[in-house]
Amino acid sequence: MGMRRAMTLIECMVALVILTLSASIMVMAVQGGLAAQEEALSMTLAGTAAESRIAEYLSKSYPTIAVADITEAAGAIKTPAGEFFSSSYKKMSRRTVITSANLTVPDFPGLIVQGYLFDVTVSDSWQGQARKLVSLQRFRPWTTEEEGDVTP
Amino acid sequence: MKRKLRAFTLIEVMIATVVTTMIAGTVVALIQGFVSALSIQDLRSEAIVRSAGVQSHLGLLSLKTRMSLALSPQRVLLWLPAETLLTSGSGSDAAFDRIDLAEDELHWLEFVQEEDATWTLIEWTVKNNMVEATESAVFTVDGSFWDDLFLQLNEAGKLRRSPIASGLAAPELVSGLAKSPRFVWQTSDCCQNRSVGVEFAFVALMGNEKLQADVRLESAIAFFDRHPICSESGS
Repeated sequence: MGMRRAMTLIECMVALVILTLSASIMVMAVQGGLAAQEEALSMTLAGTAAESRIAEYLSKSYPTIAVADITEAAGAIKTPAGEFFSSSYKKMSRRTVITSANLTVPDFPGLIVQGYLFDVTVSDSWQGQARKLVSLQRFRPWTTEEEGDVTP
Repeated sequence: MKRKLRAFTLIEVMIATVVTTMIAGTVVALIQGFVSALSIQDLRSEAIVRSAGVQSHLGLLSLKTRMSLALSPQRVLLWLPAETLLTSGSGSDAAFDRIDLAEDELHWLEFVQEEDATWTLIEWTVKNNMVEATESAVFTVDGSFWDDLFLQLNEAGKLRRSPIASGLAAPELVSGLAKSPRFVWQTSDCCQNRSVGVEFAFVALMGNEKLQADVRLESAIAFFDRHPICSESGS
């Protein structure tokens, strides 16, 4: 019967290094997944904050809308009712640019539709730099019904 | 030749114990880290997927909605007129005053609390095979009328229950934790209101720590149709 040999110190060390490296790679993979998911959630919430702003201006009486450039700082974005958004949105800032716009309609040469273009951008801060999360644009046309203060 | 067997020394045993303890501690910390990471991932995944689901559903409904007929934090009623010549306002003024129960014109959205204390967003519609084709309600902006109708239809089993999103929690507002998820709107006057939204949260417990993601969704009623009764009532 052959004599069984114990592991040498070098073998043990190599095994430990491999174990540590494997564990580190797994942890890095999970952390990478978490970071990507956090960004995805931020973009989802930023989308809802932008959509909320668009909905606010689409719901307003048309004559009350005016050209504007409004910036809400991080932690200060508000609902249409004037309440602050919850803490999930606290890192986000929002810029709303309203411009008067004339749109042409494809296949209808000469037809120009007057209205307002809403451009809403929601950003946060990433490693000290402003990072754009979501940018939404929506056009609200003027129609004859608008004179009667009714949304078409 | 017989090899002499030697026992471990105290130092060897102590070193082995220390190394084993360190490795075990690292493994336990690693497992705990994984469990925490999975909890966070679960919460974020739920928030992303279910929010997208609610947003698309709400967006679709608000595109078809002409007016909100009743508004309360827990339940709203949306009016989606049947777009047919005979039964819609475009067909006749008389038809515009009538809401056909069999034509899928009424959609209630409601937050309902489940046995596990979480909330589910439910959409209630009238089962058109349970009501007569001629059964209708006369148009009104009296919210209590629609609440009574909801209770009557629900008790009679004439409403279809369609869950939109489950596992919801009360949102954390600036003023404090809300009692429940809630609906939000532009104005409580149904004749003026042109948007409907929801506020809810997703909560996960990680040991003693509570993770929460709050969501606020809003959608404009794209084709708001102010019923003539609003002018008559002075709204």
